[in-house]
Amino acid sequence: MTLNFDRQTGPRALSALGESFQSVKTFRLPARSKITPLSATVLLIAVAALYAFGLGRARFKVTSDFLIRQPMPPGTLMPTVLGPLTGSPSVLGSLEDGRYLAFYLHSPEVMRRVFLRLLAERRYARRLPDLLAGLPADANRDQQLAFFRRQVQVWPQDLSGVIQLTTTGLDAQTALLLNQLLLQEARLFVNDMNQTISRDQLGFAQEEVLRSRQRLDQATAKLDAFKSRYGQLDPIQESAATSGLITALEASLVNLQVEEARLKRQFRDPQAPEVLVVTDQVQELQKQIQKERASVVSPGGKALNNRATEATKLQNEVIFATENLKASMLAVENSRMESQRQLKFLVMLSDPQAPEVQDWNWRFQVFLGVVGGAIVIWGVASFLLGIRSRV
Amino acid sequence: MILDSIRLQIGIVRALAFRDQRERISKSPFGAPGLLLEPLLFVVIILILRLLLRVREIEFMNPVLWLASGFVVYYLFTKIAIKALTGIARSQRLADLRRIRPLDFLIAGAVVELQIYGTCLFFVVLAVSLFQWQILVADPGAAVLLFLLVAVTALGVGLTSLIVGHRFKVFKFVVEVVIKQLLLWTSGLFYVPPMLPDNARALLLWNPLLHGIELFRHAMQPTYPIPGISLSYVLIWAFVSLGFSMLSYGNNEQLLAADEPRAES
Repeated sequence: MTLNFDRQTGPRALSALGESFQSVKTFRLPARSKITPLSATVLLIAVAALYAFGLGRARFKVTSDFLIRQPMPPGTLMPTVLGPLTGSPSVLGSLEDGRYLAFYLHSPEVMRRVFLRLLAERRYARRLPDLLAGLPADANRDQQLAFFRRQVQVWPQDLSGVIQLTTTGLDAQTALLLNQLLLQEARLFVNDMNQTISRDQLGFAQEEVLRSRQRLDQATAKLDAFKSRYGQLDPIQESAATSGLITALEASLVNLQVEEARLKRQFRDPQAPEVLVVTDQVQELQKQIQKERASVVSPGGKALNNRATEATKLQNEVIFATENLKASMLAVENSRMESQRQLKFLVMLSDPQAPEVQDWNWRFQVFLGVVGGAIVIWGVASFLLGIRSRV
Repeated sequence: MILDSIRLQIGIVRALAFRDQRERISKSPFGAPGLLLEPLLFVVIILILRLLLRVREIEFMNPVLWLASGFVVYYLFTKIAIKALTGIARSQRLADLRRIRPLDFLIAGAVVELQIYGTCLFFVVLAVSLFQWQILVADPGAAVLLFLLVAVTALGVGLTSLIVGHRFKVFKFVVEVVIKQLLLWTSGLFYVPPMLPDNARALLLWNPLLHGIELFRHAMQPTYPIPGISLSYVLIWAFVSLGFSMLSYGNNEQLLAADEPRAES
């Protein structure tokens, strides 16, 4: 037909297009070669089609959707102008938890536990004619982990915070069981994570309560020992009472001194017995006041001021320890309440269901992927080769 | 016989595409790399602007891929559509070759655009994948399919506008304005459509290019949210526009040929 085309268009046309045709031919393989790029591509696509729509074993997919929520007090959700859901704290919280969960569900520990219960070597065993699907019999731990990660997809949806868990199995029951086991793991993860944090906080607060209680006991014991040692119920009150006594004595002294002065004016002889009696009383009272004062401050006496200071210190310690105990007990209560409030829940939006039909998406994805890859390679290569031939 | 015709058709399109590519390279001030530079430059400029203006990060997928996919697919669409609107007159030199139809030029032009923008995106994806050491295209088959669907839609829209525009000049002008101006702002190139208010998004969802771009992003990153986006809508646009354009083209090819000036010598 190319000749027909040439006959129709004639030599002039060929000269116009000839250069282009020649250039196109420059990147063809030599005629002697039996494998041309075109035939290789066709072969590749045919093999992909054969595998995707013929030999490939059926895959079954099970999807479940859930949210990780924590109870929020009403009125804390503020709608935003752009997108009422995106900015809300509950969505962000679920999204953040979902991202951690995605890593956790792909972890070797989860794989080990799930594969043990799933009997993965038997359920995912390779079978003829499809030697690509499934787990090799002699797969090591790394291969098992890589395979496990291919079977499990955890996608936290950015917009809604919904976490989508999709599992793949070579039969419907395996896919369902895998999904259910992973949901159990997710629940364990969410609860365990919260419980560990709450437990730690509560334990710390309870330790603080014990410590405060011990401190209070010690302070009280010291105060009691102090009181027992000096036989005083309350040194501060005793000191106050002594001060009161001195004040009363001083008041009496003033009265007597006034009386003495009056008598001295009344009697001409200062040695009169009436005057001397009052003078003696004044002198005795002064001595008594001096004595009482000395007993309050002198170390040899009762040393009431020192004892009062020490007693005040010990009482302050008791008061401080009491306050500390109160605060610690409050912290325990708060911690318990906080742990209740922050407890997160895994809210199922759609439960996993056993699929009745196989998943066809992977077949088209494989086939279209190969076709797409071939197109991209052809497009890029021919473009770059075209540039090269130009150079 | 049919197979030979198809092979001949492919040969013609390839040759015309090659000719088109060479023509572009010779006209480009930077040669072959210049063809890839235009969309890449846009991506780089927008990235710099984002850095300077401290725009909130796009959390749904890699921002470079997000921008590149939007701009490259947008450029692919507009270039093919605009070329379909105006491209035939440039090819008068070969107009007396009876085997070569005006449509062949358009298809060849579309193939070249596909190659240019496909290569451009391929390098961006490759670079970002190497940078992150992770393959960033989850569903390459769907991505390529969408790329082709956008090209087919552009060809259909452009060709239809060309033919209708021959009868109603205003229509051609309006379509050109819509493609060049309106689509730039309504195709999700500068904002994440799911973040828009519902009433604004409902209006934008009439734009098939927005569906194509968002689905393309979704094919690269399956967690990218696409509420209200439909593959069926893109497919309907692609096939209806192409079908309508082929129908119009079949009935109006003589008209188009007559409109074109005869080749000299």
